[in-house]
Amino acid sequence: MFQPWTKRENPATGGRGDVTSLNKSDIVSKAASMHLQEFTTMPEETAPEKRLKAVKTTAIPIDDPVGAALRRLHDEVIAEPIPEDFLRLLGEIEGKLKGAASSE
Amino acid sequence: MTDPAPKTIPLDDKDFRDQLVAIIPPLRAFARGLCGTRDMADDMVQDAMTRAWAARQSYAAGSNFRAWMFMILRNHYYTTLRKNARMVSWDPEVAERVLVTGPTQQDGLNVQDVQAALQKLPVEQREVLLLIGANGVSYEEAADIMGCAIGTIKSRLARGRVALAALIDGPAYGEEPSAKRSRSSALSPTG
Repeated sequence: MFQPWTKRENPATGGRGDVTSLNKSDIVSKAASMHLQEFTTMPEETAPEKRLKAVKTTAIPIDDPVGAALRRLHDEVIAEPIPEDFLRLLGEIEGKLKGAASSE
Repeated sequence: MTDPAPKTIPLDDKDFRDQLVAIIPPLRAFARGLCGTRDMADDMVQDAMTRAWAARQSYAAGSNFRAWMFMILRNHYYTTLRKNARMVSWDPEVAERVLVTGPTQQDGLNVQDVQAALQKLPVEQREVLLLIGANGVSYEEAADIMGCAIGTIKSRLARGRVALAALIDGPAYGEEPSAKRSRSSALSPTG
């Protein structure tokens, strides 16, 4: 797990209190060696017997800039309104549904 | 004596249509990343939706609709690529040329830069990055969609991530700054 914060004992306080310091070079070197992490999540739709077992899934770490850029790319498209062409296509499907219902 | 194969129960037409509507945005995002252009991607998604509607009787209710739709879209994309013979392959020289634009701040990556860099990756790496990195599907689901082993997915994802980072930011993560500088100077017209 990526842990940029390091805890160090403060000699000035005789080790009584810990000082949390952020070391920039540590962050850079850890970011450089950052690898994919595995998280354990439960899928939404699984057979009951499979629900008992957690399924391993993965993600590019949240603080990875490449992963963040990929998600931004994805989110931008998601946020777009559905184009007219799609609505027309769905309208055709709707029409087929109504046609099928009326013929029954 | 063996039991007969379980019968596929198709989804009700209206439910199928509702699922189709819900899946449009993620499908468009996946297709946009694969194709690189909005028009081609949207055509691809509409074709996939039409195919899915035509094949709705073969979809079993309760199974993973998202994976099923991504699979249809992906198959259609590959078929189109084969027809057009425009398969993009990894070319280190192309990657080097992209680096001429210089490194950018990693915490503020431009979406268009990422989109352009994605198109330089082999399609196998691109799709796994889009599925897992952008769409958030699991290794298992990605393996189902792409029809390959989880280990293959993992290695493609790792290689794709490094290649994408290299395309966007220059040298791969972990490379010494001095090596980064020497690469930059070697690429500069005066260097």
